[in-house]
Amino acid sequence: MIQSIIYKEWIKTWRNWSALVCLNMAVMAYIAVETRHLFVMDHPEMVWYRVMYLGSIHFGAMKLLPLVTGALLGAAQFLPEMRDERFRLSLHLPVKLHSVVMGHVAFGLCALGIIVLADMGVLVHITSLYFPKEAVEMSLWTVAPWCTAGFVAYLGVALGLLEPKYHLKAALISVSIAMAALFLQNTSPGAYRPVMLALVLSSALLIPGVLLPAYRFRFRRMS
Amino acid sequence: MENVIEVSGLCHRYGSRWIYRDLALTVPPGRIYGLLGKNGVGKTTLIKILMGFLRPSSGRCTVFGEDSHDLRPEIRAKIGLLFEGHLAYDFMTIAQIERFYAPQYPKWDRGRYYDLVDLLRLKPTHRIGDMSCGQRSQVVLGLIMAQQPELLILDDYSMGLDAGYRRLFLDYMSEYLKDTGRTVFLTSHVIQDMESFVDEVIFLERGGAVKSTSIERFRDAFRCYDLPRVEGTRPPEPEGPIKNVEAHGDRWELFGFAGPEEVETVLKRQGVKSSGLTPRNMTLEDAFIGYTGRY
Repeated sequence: MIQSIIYKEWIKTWRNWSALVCLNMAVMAYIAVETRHLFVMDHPEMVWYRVMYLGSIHFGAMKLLPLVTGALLGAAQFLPEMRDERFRLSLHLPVKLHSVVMGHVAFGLCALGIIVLADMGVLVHITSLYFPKEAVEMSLWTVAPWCTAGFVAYLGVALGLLEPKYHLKAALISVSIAMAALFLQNTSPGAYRPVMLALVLSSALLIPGVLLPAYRFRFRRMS
Repeated sequence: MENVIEVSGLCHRYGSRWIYRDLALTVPPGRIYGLLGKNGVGKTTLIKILMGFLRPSSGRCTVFGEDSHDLRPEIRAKIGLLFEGHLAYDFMTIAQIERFYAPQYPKWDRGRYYDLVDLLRLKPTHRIGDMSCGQRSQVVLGLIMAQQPELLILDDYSMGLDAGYRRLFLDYMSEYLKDTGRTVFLTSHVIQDMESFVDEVIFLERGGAVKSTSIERFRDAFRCYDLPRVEGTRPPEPEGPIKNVEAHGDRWELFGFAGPEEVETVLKRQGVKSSGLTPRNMTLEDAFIGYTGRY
């Protein structure tokens, strides 16, 4: 049953997903060029000093990338479902409502996860070419909140599009923007490390949270 | 045998405007029911409640004995829904949409889907989004038929279809339903199609008043009379057996479930001269408009 939903989601989103992969790889290529540029323009020990001791971030172009990717993927997945309320077609399938909704969300999170992991893999590769492993580890801790912001953006778009009531739609989008902003503060590299687990766990509450607007979409009245 | 659809004490409102108060109707198995009513009486609302996409303010609406908004997946598998506008996932192709639905339904009949869709002479890779409304209706009909449901709820199946596609839709549906015991509950704005297709009609009026009758009984019992308009006399009013009165230039049209004697008695009571009262033949569409009123 869930395979059908995954099949449908793939047909619907593969073009957009492929475009997002290309966008992400283009940004990562830019970061690779920029990093190489640092070493061409300056002495390696100066670059190391700035990165290792002064907290300079050589992959700043990546900061909003997961956020944009998550939001666009969410829109690609749920906008077609909301056009003429086509989501009703899936909701009438002989499958439990929460399985249908969670099937859609799981697909989106996996599709986004693949892109984010690819970004992180490329970043690890670029960083390890020029810096010691401590810098690689620090770069991962630095991008971790940015990537989480991408998942929050995806879930925020899903919440906002599924919610049928406009005032709740505005409230859910506002909460999602606030949560995403929490992960995008200008801090020193790796500053989120001590609180990352707590922040990720609290953001994960948005996943079952998607069920609530989906139920409201299904029944239009909850009481 | 248990009714397929049972609605009792159903009330629904949008804001402070009540659509129904205490609506009640039943649909037994194996019958084709057409829901008729003017715009704004709540046909779409009732269909949405039946389809489980709207929870009523109060009252009960059951389908196969279960609350329509809380149907188990096994029950949903027995219900084929046609959404208004022949809604389908238009980013899919003919083959992809069949592959999407097939694993969901245990009685899926792939042959029946392709029998119907092959008439379109389109490639299986043709996108539904690139089809005309009529072509899309055939794909959607094929999907519903392949599902082999026990109950079909068809919301305005005629929307956007020309006469040819409407006929095709009804012919296939009639053939499909023959001797199967399947139940159909449908709405349409094309009254003349109902005449040859449905067994029973349900007239829904503002406020939730309902009349359920067979087409034959309705045609036999519902009458229209012309009454010349005479200057200076008071107009006739709907009362008792006179269901509706419409003004037409130099005459009144009186509609009701009554013979000429009964109508004359009512007119006499109202102080209206009944001289010139003559019965008139009607099409089903005339009768529908006469029953529900023009405005």
